[in-house]
Parts: sequence; structure tokens; C-alpha cells
Amino acid sequence: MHSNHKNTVVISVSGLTKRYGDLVAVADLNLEIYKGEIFGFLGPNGAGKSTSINMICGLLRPDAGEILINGTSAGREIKLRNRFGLCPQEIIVWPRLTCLEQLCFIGEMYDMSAQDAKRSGVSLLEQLGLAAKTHALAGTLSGGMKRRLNICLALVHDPKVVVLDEPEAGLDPQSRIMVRDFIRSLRKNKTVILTTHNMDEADRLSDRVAIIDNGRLLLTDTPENLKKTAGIGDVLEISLLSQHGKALQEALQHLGDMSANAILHGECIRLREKNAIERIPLLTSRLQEAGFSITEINMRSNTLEDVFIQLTGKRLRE
Amino acid sequence: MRLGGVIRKSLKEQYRSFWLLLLTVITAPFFVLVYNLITQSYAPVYDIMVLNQDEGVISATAMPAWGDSLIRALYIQESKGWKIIQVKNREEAAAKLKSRKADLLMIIPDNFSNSMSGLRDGKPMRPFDLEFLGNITDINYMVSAILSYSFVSDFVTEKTGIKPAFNFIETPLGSSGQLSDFEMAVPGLVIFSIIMLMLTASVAMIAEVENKTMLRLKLSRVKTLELMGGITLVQILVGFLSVLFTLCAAAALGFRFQGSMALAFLIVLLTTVSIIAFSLFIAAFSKSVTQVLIIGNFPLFIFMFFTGAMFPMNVTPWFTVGGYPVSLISLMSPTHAVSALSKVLVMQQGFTGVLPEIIAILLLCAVYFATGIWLFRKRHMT
Repeated sequence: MHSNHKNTVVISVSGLTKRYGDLVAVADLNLEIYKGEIFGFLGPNGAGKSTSINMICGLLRPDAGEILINGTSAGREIKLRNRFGLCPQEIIVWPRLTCLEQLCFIGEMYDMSAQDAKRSGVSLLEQLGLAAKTHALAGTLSGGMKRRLNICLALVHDPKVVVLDEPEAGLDPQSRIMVRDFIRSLRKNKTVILTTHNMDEADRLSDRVAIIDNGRLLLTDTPENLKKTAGIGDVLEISLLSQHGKALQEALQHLGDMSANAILHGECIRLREKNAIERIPLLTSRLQEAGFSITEINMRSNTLEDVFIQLTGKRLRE
Repeated sequence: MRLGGVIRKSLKEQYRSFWLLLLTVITAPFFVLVYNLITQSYAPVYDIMVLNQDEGVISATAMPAWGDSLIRALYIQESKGWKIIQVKNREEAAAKLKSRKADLLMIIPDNFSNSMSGLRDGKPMRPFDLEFLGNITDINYMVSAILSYSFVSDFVTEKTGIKPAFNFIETPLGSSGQLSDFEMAVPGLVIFSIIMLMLTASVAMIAEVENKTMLRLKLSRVKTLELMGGITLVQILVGFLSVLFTLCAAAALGFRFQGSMALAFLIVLLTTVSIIAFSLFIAAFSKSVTQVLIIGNFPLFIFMFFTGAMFPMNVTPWFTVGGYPVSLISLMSPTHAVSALSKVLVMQQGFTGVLPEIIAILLLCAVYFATGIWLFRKRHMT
């Protein structure tokens, strides 16, 4: 992964807070985002990712804290707001304009010339697989196409900072690959802020990830470093069916020396072991002797979800 | 140029909403057609009941019954717009009046023939009482009463030979004497068509908020004035088309253009601008098309019924400015537009005659725009 710790700080946030009555949506957020990196905000729904992004973009006024864009206090300066390209989580397009028309329109709203806006629009549509829909009304596009158009609208004016809020949501696998490759290509001359609750998306794309939950920033580091904090070894996940009326909780008692590293999640035992593959025969025989049927065994490396579970005690999607 | 971009975008979206555009543009011409059909098929006839209590004149040689003579004369002149219904008693007549089966009851008194004979013979007579019964708040009663009073007065003068105290001469101003009911209604219908633009313009303005595309615009460099100015200009064009079709429909149905067409057009154009500027208020307080329709109904109702567009309004002015009355309804631009159009199309007045109205409309345009844009920006763009 590409690390930019020694690069210029593009966005600096300190003490950022936002309250809605008694609810603290974002609490004392502190972070720095470097030029040319893909910075991921990872957290479940309602964690405060979109609120944080809206404050950084200048769409929401924080209750406390400061935001610096290239060293200048952002406040609600329109000029600084213009430097962002926002691809919101919701699909926001003009249904009665064609793809190219709305790209040209938005380009003109950022003071691009008609020619430049058209050139930029055509290029973006091609890069995101929408060349055939250049002159199609946006209202006639499929959901996946609209989402890709959503991304194009964030980029037509060549912003230096691009904010992508759940850019892969609703896309088919092929489109997801196209969008991911596209996002990676943005790194050459832009800073990308990515918000997602999809750990896979954050892991594959981000240079650094900030894990957020309940409005608080829990941890920020590269995906690799974050995964190391979850523990050494591979993760074994064994799905069970109980027989003879035994409670699944009893299964943990039959793991012997491995029970210390094991937890039960629903019908699945998850444990972390070095050389896990060698331990599988012993584990399975003990569980079967105890009267449990094994329906599935999975072995994998640490994921960001493991990190999240370790930090919060719950899954990303709970 | 951002303003140009907004105008081009709004134009494209407007003509691609074909059915909405069509509905906006043909609503007023449709009203003109319907109104024409109603007025053409309806020539007003007033139902006048007559209760003849005349006892005639008792003399040695004859019994002239002037009451019967009057009734015969009324029947002969039914082409003047009334229908005579003879009744036998007051109660029967009152029942018909209450159930709106007649407009007026005229009671010929018992001493009618005596009075008529005396007047013919030059004798000084006590005036006879000609009684009218009816709903005095009903315009049909008022017209029936005027027609009946006028006819009876002429009848008495003619049959008795008495000279009237004065000659009544009526001179219609401008073309007011030549206009049909339909032609008199056209200025109001044109203003009505402009008022109807209030809702459609607000819908166009609120579309960006409802579709959430305002988020993209807030991040861009476009200013509120540029955005709303561009949308407004396109709505003015739509309004202009609507008025043009309305006038064409009126002309096709027999409306004769009197007075200065250019001046009438200027008044209509300024009123269109003012109504669309007012739409900014409705858009400022709405977040969706549904809210526009709910919130917008209130000012729409006020503008339709309290500006003189549908029927005349007489309001005591608060004060005057250079002789021009200013009252509560002066805060609404159609009030001045109706007055100005009537002056131009009926009284054939020129520019100086309607200058106060034009100034009033221009002032209101400026106030509506400035306040509307400020409100819209405060509520939707910050």
C-alpha cells in the first residue's frame, strides 16, 4: 500500500464536534489527511462518517473544533468549498438532463469553459463505462449507472480533494472492479476521502483507515498495521449444529487449551491460532466427540472487521 | 457564464417536462374558452313576478284598468331581458322568491288606475306606492329592480303625458358601451392566467431542493441570484407563452383589442415577472412539490379573489401617493395590473394614464425579488 506520511497535510481536523440535541454525532475528531493518499473512514451506519465528511466539506457547521484546508481555516468559505468534489451516498442526478449535459452544467457552475467541461465530461464517462449513455437522460439509467454518474459529477471540475461516500454501494461485481480501479487512479493527482461500512472496500482501496464508532475516532493507521493489532495468527471460524439438546455455549468447554482464544458468535466459534491449519483435526474431533455437528470450517487472515470487533465488541453490520 | 448555464439547463428541463409545460400554458386559454361558452350560451333573463292589486277606476262611463295595461306592456317588452310571471298573492310570490325561482316581485297597488287617471287629467295626486320584494343582496334582484323601475317610470310618463323633471343621458366612456360580457372579462382572465403561474414557478424553483441536487449547487460557485435568476427567466418565458396563448384564444373567440396593445403587453409582462418573483416566497418556505401545493394555495387564493382579477374590489385606501390610492390590496401586484389593463383596454388610456400602476408593479417586483432571493438563500443555500 502507498503511504504518504511524509507528504503535505491537505486537511487537518482538530477537536471537531457536532451535536444534535443530546445526541453527539461526532465527538472531538482529530486527524490529518495527506496529499495524494486514499483515506478511508470505516464504521457502521450511524457512526458519524457522513457527518464528519459534511463538516469537512463545509456543508455542515461544526459545534466545536477547527478544520484547516491546506493550512487555511475552512470556516464556511465558499472558495475552499469549491476545492472538494463530493460523491454523496445518495444518488443525486438531474433526471431530465443527459449524462453529458449535467456534467457540462456542473462544470460551468465551477466556472469551467463549456469546452473544458465537455472534454472532462466525455473523458469521465468513458473511464467509468458510461460512454454509450453520453446522450441518455439520467432518469433512464439503471441504478448502477446512476451511481457511476454520481461519481463523474464529483470529478468533472477536477477538484484536488475528492470525497466518495460509499461509492461501490449498489454496484454489480464488474462495476465494482471498474470503480475501484478508477479510484486508485485518482491517487496520481488528487487526495481521496472514502467513507464506507464495507471493510473489504476500505482494506483494498485505502492507504490509511480511520475507524469510527458512535461519533468517536477509535484508531487510524494503514490497513496492514490495523490488522496486526487484532492479533497474531490465522482466524478459524467453525460453524456448529447442536445435537441432543446441548447448548452451543458448551462447545467452548471442549476446546481445551484453545478455549482461551475462542469466542462464540451465534452458531460460529471463532478462534485465533498460529499454524491454525494443523489444529483443525484436533478441534473437529473434540467437538464431534462432544456431540456437535460441524457444518462449515473457514480459515482466513485478520480483517478490519476483526479490528472493529476487538475495539467495540460488535460487528460492523450490527 | 453561470447564469447562462442555469438558463440553458432550466430550458431543457422545462421542455422535457412536456405535459407539465402543456398544462401550464393551456390552463388559462382553456378558462377563456369555457368562459366564452358560458357567456355565449347564457343571455341573462330576469324572472319578474307581478301581483296586480289594481282596483281600476270607477266611473260612470268606463273602468280603465291601468294595472292590466302595464302588465300587457311588460309582456310585449319581454325581449328587453325579463320574463313576466303573474301571481295571485303575496305568499305564493314570497315562496318563489325564497326558493330562487324568481328574482323580483312587483306589486301594482290598488290605487294605480286612480292615480294614472288623475295624472292624465292634470289633477294633483298623492304618489302611488310601487312595492318591490326580493333578496336585495342578490345581483339579479338589483338588475331586475332597475329594469322594472325604469320601465314603469317610462310607462307612467308616456301614458299620462307628464313631463319628466330631467332628461337622463348616458355616455359610455371609452369602449365600455360596446363590450360584451366576455370582452369585459378578458383582462381579468389574463391576470388570472398570470396568477396561476405562481404554483408552477414555485415547483420549478423547489425541484432542486426536492431532488437534493441543491447539494451539488451549494458546493459549486453558483450564487443564489444566478441560480434563481436563471430559473426565474425561464419561468417568465413560460408565463409569456401562457399569456400569448390566452390572448390568442380570446382573439379567436371574438375579443376585439381596443387601446394600445404594446402598453397592454407591457403591463402583462411586468405582472408576470412580479408573480414569478413572488413564487420565491413559496419556494423559500417549501421543501417539496407537495408543500408548494399546500403552502402556495393560501397566497394563490388571496391573489385570485382580493385583487380584482375575478370580481371588482372596493377598498378604503390607507393613504394616497400623488393621488394614487394605497391600501392593503396594493401589496399585491395583480391589483395594479387589473386597474391598468382596464384603463388601457376599456378606457383607451395611454402610458401616462397607467404610469402609477406601472411604477407600483415595478416596485413590488423589486421588493418580491430582493426579499424572495434572500429568504430562499437563507433557507436552502446555506
